[in-house]
Amino acid sequence: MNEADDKLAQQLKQAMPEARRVPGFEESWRAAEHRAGRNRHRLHVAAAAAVAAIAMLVLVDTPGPGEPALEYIEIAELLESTSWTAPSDTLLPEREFDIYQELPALMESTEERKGALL
Amino acid sequence: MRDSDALENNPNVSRSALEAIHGQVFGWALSRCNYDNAAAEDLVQQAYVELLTGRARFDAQSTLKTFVFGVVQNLARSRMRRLATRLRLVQTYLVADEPSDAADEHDIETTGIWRAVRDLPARQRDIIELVFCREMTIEEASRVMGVSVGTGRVHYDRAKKALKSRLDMEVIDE
Repeated sequence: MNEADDKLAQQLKQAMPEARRVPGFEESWRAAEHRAGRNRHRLHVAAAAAVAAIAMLVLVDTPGPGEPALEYIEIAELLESTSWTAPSDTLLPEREFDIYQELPALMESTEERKGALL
Repeated sequence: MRDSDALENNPNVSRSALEAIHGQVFGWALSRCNYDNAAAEDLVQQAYVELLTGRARFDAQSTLKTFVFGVVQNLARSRMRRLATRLRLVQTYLVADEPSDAADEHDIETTGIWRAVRDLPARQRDIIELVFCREMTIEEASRVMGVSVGTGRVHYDRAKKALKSRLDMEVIDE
């Protein structure tokens, strides 16, 4: 800094607005500690709420003792009979049908090729 | 170096060292908040929270004063960004002819040379304040402002020229 800069610095320092009240360090520090503690507490509460929410989701998703267990198609059972009841769920309504009675109607062809119907 | 009153989450920062620069930190925070005492108090407390929790970690690459000034500057900047967003929202929904005098609430009395400083662009104003009033080198001031030393020097030179020409103009006017 040269002489002109020093003069400018002096003028600026004198003209700089003053604080109406400078809070003491202890006051600011205590408030900061309190704020940090409060933030930590909030973090713990948020973490506990998140854990509780996850636990609730897990409990809701697990079937209780009264609820029907999942059903699987038994191949042996299916082979013994021509009748089969589809296991019901919310997406597939319960329906019983006979596989011989409800064969899909196929289009029959009268065209022949090499002695066989197409 | 670990002082006896070093912070748990910030081993290179001691409580006594912070106490020694508290007044200067408050002064800097005050100028970041348009000289609103309550906002400056809040800003200083938040800066201390950042140091206490270790979110702002001092690694002794600069002086503690430079580091804490930088923390205050960053907090003020992010706060200003949030305020600007809110202000834009308010302006979007505000009835155009509603008078608002809130902006002038904290306006301070400025005269002569300090008015000339306030009229400078933000970066130039900051570097003038840091170098001339807060006794920092251009390198330290650049660090606080988050710009390279070269950019800091450019702002410093331009600010000094602008300030001198404004002061010369005021002398001529008088």
